[in-house]
Order: sequence, then structure tokens, then C-alpha cells
Amino acid sequence: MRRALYIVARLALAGVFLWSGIAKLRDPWMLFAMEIENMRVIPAAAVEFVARTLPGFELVLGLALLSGVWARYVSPAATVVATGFFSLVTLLYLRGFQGDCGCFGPGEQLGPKTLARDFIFVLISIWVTWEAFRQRAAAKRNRLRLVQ
Amino acid sequence: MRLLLLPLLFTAALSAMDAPDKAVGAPNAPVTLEVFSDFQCPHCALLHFGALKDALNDCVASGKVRIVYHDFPLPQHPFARKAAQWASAAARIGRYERVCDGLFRNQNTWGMTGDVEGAVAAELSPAEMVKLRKIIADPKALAEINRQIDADLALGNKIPVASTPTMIMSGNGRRYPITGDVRYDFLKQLVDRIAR
Repeated sequence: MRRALYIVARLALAGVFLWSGIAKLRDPWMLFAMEIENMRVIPAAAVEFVARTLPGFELVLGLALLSGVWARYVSPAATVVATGFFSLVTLLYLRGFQGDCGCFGPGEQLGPKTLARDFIFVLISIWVTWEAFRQRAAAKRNRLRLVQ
Repeated sequence: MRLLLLPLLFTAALSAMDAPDKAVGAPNAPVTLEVFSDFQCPHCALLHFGALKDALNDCVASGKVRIVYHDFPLPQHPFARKAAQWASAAARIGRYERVCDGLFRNQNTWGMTGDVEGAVAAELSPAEMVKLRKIIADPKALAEINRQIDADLALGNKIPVASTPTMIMSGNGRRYPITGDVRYDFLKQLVDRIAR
């Protein structure tokens, strides 16, 4: 049961990253660059680099989560990214930012719903990471038992 | 969501054609940039004197872009509608850009006192001000201006415009919402991509 739940959570997280990456890649990168720039959180010189690379990184992360390979490395990376996004939208919300959050392409205004949704993603990613390590440890224990 | 937005954005484009006095650029330009702004909004002023001025001197001058202005006076700005009325009146005598410049440049001053007329007068000649005061004093003309502002607001709320400034860039069958006072180089690259 727990194993099945882990797979569902991992696939859900993969879906989020794939959706996020694809939604951004469908539009010209300049559009995402303008959304990032409007947030005024990263140096102007870094905006283009982030706008060009982040959607691709999200896509790779989503595919890795989907495949389940290197789960002990991919899940913490997903947690770091999800926590980063959550921290960013929280900071922007507290600043009174009213523009696009840029989460899944243009057209989504940042608000309490964005915060709640991103917080849920953080919780899922933490649990997936925890499970990835727990299941690995359990598999190791089982192997040792078999050897003994 | 985007599919739902398309008909609304199409309506926005149609409505833009109804207000030629608040538009600059070739009517057949490959890219249309619809700007929803509020004269008391500081970010709108930054966009106006930043990316939009650059766009006027570059993309609009070269015939690539047509800019259509929409008024979107926010309820928290008590004099924004009054400013929009004067700017719309100025559009009727062909001085929209000049009055916009003055209103955005001095938004802190008239935003405190409510003396929009004074801010407009500083930009125009006495003869032009006579014409403008005549338009504002005419109940019929003012009612029409208010209808135009209400139509812009309704259009913005339909899209929906959640904050100012918001721009809708359209061309080549695609439409992109852009919020905030963005940098011109990104805007230009997007224009070039659409106009290609």
C-alpha cells in the first residue's frame, strides 16, 4: 500500500514538473523572462539564463521522476526546487506582488491559491524523498537478511 | 484556460479597432500591443517611459508594432479616472501622447492634489486647453469618454487584467499577456519572433 502511494506521489510530482516545463517551453522564452524580470528577485543579468534553462531543467526533473531512476538523488533535487518556488511565491506575496507567478506559463496571477498549491507540492516532494531513502534502506536490510 | 481566453482576447483586438484615437502605429502592423494602464500607477509610468517609449521609437516607427492604449483606472486611485478622462479628451485633439507623458511624469503631484487639469495644462498650449476644456465641459462628449473608459475596464476585466500595467501582444495568430514594467530588449525580441 505504502509502496503504491509512493509511486502515485512520485508520478504526481513528475506530472507537476513536466506540466510546468512544457507550459513554459510552448511559449517563446522572452515571455518567461519578462515574468521573472517583473518579480525583481534575481539580478537582471541572470534573467535570460534562468528563462532559457529553467523550463528544460523542470522537464528533465519531471522525466527523471517519471522513470524512477536515481530516486535518492532526483527526489531531493525536486524538493529543493519545489521549496525554492514556494519560498519565492511566499516572498512575492508578502511583498504585495500582483503579477503573473509564471508557474505554468503566463496568465496565472499570484495569490493564496498559488501559495497553498506550492506548499502541497513541497509536502509531496519531502514525502517522496523520505520514502525514496526509506525504501532503499528497507531493500538493503532485506538483502542483508537474505545473505545471513 | 488559454483556449477560454482566446475569444476574449479576440474581442479585445476588435475593441481596439474602435478607438483609433488612442492608438499609434500602422494599422496593418504585424504585431499589436494593447496596453492596459492607470495614470496613478507608478509601474505604468515606468513602463510608459521605459519599454513603451523605446517601442515607439523603434518597433512602432519601423511599422512592426501598433500600440493601442486602454484605460484601466483602479478603484484605489481616486484621480485615475479623472486623468483618463482628460487624456481621452486630449486624444480627440490629437495630443494623447503628450498628455500621457505629462500625467505619468507628474503623477505624484496631481495624485496628491487631484489637480489633473493643471497637470494637463502644463503640457498643452492655451489654445489646445480651450478645446480640451470645451470637450470636458460638454456633457455629451464627457459621457462618451466615460463610456469608452467603462468599455476599456469591462474589456480588461474580461481578459482578465489583474494588475497594471498589463499588455496583450498579438500577432501571427498568437496572443501573449505581459504584466509589469518589463525591459525593452525582451519585448523587442518577442516582437521580432512574432513578426518573423
